[in-house]
Amino acid sequence: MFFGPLIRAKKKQKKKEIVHELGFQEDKQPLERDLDRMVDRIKQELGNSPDVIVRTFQIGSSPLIQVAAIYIEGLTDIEKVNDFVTHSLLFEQKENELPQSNDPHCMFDVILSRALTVGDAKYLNDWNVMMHALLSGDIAVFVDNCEGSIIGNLRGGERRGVTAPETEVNIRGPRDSFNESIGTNVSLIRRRLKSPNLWLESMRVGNITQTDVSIMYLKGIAEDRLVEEVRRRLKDIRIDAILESGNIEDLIQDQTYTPFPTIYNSERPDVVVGNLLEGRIAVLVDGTPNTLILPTTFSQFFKAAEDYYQRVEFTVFMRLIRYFGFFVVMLLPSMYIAVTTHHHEMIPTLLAINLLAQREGVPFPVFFEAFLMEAAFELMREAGTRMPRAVGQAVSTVGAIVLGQAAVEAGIVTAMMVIVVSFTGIASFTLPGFTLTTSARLIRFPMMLAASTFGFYGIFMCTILIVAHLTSLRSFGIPYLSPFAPFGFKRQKDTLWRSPFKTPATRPGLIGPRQETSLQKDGVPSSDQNDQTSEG
Amino acid sequence: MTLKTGFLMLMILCMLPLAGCWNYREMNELAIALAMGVDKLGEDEYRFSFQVVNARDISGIKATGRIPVNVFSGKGRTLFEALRKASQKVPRRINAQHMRVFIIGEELAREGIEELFDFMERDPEPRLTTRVIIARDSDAETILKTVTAVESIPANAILGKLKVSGRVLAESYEVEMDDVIRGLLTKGGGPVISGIRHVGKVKSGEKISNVEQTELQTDLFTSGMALFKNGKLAGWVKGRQARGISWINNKVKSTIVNLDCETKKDALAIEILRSNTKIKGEVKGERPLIRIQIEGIGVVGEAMCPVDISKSAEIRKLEQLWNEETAHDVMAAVKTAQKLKTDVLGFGAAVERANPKAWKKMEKDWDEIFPTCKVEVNVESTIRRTGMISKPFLLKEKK
Amino acid sequence: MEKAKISPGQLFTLIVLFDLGTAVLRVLAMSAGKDAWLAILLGTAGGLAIFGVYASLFRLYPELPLTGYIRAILGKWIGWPLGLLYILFFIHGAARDLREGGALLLSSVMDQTPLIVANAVMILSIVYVLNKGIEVLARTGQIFIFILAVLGLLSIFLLFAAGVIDINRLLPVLGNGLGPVIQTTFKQTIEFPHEEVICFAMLLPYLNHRKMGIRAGFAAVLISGIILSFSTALNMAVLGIDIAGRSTFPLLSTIRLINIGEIIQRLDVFVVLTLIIGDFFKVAIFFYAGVLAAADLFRINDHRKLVLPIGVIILFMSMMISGSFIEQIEEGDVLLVTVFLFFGVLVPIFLLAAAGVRKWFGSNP
Repeated sequence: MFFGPLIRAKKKQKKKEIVHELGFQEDKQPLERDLDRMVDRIKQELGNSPDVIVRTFQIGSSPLIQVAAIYIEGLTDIEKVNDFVTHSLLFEQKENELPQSNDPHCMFDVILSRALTVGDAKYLNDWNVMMHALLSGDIAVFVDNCEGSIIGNLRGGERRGVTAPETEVNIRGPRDSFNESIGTNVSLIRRRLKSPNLWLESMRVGNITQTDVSIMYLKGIAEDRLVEEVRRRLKDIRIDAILESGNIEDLIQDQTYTPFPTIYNSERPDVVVGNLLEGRIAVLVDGTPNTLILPTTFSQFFKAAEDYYQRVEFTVFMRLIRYFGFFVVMLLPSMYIAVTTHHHEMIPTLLAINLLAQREGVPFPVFFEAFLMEAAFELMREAGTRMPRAVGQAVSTVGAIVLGQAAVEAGIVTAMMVIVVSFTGIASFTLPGFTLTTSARLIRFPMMLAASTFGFYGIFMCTILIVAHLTSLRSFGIPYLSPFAPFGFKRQKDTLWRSPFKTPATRPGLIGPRQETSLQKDGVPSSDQNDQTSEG
Repeated sequence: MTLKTGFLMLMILCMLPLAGCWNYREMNELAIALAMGVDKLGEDEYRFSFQVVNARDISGIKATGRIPVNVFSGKGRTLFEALRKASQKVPRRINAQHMRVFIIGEELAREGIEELFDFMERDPEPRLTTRVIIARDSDAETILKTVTAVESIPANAILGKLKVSGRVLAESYEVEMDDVIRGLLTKGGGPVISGIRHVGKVKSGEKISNVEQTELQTDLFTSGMALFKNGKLAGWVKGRQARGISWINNKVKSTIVNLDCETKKDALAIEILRSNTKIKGEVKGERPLIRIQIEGIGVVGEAMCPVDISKSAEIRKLEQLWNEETAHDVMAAVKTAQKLKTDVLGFGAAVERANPKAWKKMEKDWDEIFPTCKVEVNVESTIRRTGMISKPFLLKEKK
Repeated sequence: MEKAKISPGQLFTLIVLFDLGTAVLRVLAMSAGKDAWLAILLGTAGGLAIFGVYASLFRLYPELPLTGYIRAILGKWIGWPLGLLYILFFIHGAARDLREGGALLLSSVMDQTPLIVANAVMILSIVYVLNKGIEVLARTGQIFIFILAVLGLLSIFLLFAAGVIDINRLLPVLGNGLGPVIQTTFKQTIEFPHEEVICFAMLLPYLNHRKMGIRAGFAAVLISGIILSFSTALNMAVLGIDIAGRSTFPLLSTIRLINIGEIIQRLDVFVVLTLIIGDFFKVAIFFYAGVLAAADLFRINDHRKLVLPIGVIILFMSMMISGSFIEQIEEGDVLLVTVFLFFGVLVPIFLLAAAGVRKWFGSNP
């Protein structure tokens, strides 16, 4: 609610500083020595789930060594298990005998160094870590009478491939988007940013889900304080489940009760990379293509990825259109109400006569009419989203054409109202950051209420309140409305306006002037046009 | 505490729509009056008339084609009373915010319009941009009741006639409410207001059948301008005098000046494209001298006599003729104004601009001084083009 | 005290919004006739001098607000009651402007709405913003001054395009000599709106760059004076001196005259927006100055506690302050040269003198 911040203004959040490495960590538990007991324990722990596959075999010749490989069906790539684990251990070892060793640890060393052909494998002697690895899709290899295990990364199984982005569509520019695998997502970013300064930190969040969460940033460009703050807030999360980045967003945002999103999210790697270069931090969450980008400012929601690939003039024009679209969504219906119910004198005469002609015989007051139509529109939009793809088309046809047309013909609503509502609807699709549109859509309704009570006075007072609310918001310490308020002339290069890349390049300073100078000192490869020309 | 505050705020928010929508007025609760008229009936009784538009009959796909406006009127001893009395006849609230023309009956104009404009300026509904017209030789209600052609809404038709004839002919010009108010406050002067005349039978003009013929039996047309003195109509000017007033008040946008040829009278027509007038005052002794400087640019629009306008010498002659014609118009207007003793020409203001101290002395007696003002007219006109052809073919025939 | 900081740019914004506030809607200095604009310009010079006094006091006591250094200079026994009077002064100022804005709003676009409702909406919004602190107010100002600038420039352009400006209506300059101009300057334009800037004496300690802040303050006073002068001249050139002088809301009358081809017309909304924004910031700053003064005098750490109660006081005071709009304006003219003059000019000059004397004798405690 809008007044939420006011109410909670005094409440100070007490945050305990707890050092908590992995979020779930308990005491370190060594593994069993006895293979059978080991296997039984694992099976028991996972409730004898049938998708836990245990493959036991013997290697070596004298004596034969009892070995078990455990993995979870579907999470681990079975082909690779066959090729790199069973095959390498069973067949290759037939020819060259394994050197004997009575030292239990030594056995693992031998297997690791001479037998196993898995690329990413390591020795591990910790029950919890081993279980987590197993559940993440790794394979665990146990040896009888040896304490510990070898964890091999053979994660695989069915995953969605890298496809074209579905929500952030563009005409020019790359067509790849993130998928649900955090590894793929990280690689998509790394592929674009071949810098040693691209640092990645990983942690697990969610007591039960143990979701992998990574933060990525450019060392030397992103402010250390900011990185520290993000790390701290992530570590402070106490929750059972993280299913999507939205959960993280909710937990780490600065202000909970606000209709405006203070953290940006994107499914486009190029957007994320662009933001990393501006000193922002990306938070990747396993299991979702939506990557969080923070800190976020209001103007960010009006920037499409394409803005940086298109010509400057066109970009500026499109941005103005988007801002216009935002205000249309927020204000047009209420403006219409205000003008037709309070300020008849502000309508040009001929239009007034036309409107009057339309209004004749319409049974509902304008406010109710507007509310009805806007609600109907939201209804149709929601139906269109939830509807199975195949019938989606039908909904929009029925909704838009049949319903609208029929309502006008029947004289229940005016044609002008239909125009206003559809214009609002169309305008709501102009913003690339879809989240901000939802804010505007929400605010529209109280605005309409204010307009019908006080006319323009109500609208303008609401606008002042909204602007005040926006200026009071912060995203990780950055004022939400910067660089408009607090105003920074030098930082206007990428807001309403985008300067061409040729203009003397400083980064669109997000936090302060620090990165502009430190860049050169640290020798971080820069994305600036200047540097590019000098290189090539 | 915080919860309470939030609850309070929520309560206030919820109360707002319940408490009442004070200014909430649906469009279809309004009767939009596009034109209004005021007449004086006998002693101290006013009649307010409104031309209310029937929106449904003229706009949108469901337009019926019935008569587009209705006229309602109310009588009262004060203007406000007359206005409110009219509500007995109109089913909706009369809204004057879209009033385009405001018509004053000639009788009322002769008796004085100052009280009227006090009322009009006080009321927040009428806009200062509303055009004011005097119903010449008739009352305002008759004008309002007349159905017009081409523009189906008579108010728009009147406005259109006023506008277009003002722009191409310059024998009248649009006068807005603020011009009238300023005029009324001029020392020793008054506003100039265009007139509209009703021609034909009154009754036949009230029916839609009036416009169901190619030539209207009853119609309205702009006619001359009314000069006011101390808020009262002092006299009418028309034709070239009226144009002279337009020249002096710098309202000429375009007009046609007829010039004589060597032999033929009024054989050449010059279309004026642009003109600019400056008035300068000067005080020497008792009588102020007013210098009127007019610059004009025009083209030859018509040549019904053999004159070789491809020669610059000829052009210069024509320009000279044009200058004289214009000066003649202007002097005619000045003479009329001086005869009526009303400074509608802004001479007083010119004197004040030139010599504020002298004006202080003259201000009281301006009524007497104004008619004795000496006036110098200086016209500088340029003929820019000669139309699509240079020599008229009459010239060839002659040879 | 709040830890918030405002930048010189933000101070500039707030002063301009405050100065223009309700003043830009009216035609000021009518007693100077056609030379009102000149009187306003001369008044601005006086306004700069007044701001100079505030700035010098601020330089002497950069950490303290007005009520703080009153006590430092005059001692607790005189300083505290004087500070109390200042609280009343600020609250009264807020109430007057609230009333004025509400009355203009009602007379122009909302004739059927009860005044108290319109005022309550305004004061509640201000309470909400002030609860968020000076930073939010300043940043909100930065957004709205931009909107005002765009509206202003657009209106000027449209007025020229519509051809309703007649410079002749402003001539002759100094037709009645310098006398009335000087008189008006001293009686009205120095005082209004410049002496109300005393509110900022409460806000100056929040500045993050003192030197630049003071410069920005001078610039703001100067620029708002120029804008006021220009808008008054514009109103007169469009409406003529008589209509402009008699109109309760000349800016609205002026904008209403814009009519370009019957299409671009009826731009009343520009003026309504200007009115609302101007009034909002004017009331908000008076209000905030009052809150800060009260918090300072009564040693209340969290001044936000005071916002709602003082807001309610202002609301009811605005209803009781005068019987009608005419009374309000008449009272205003009297108050301008008495109460406002006393608190806005005389006391600060006296304080500066007293501080100077103290420093001279080296007895600064």
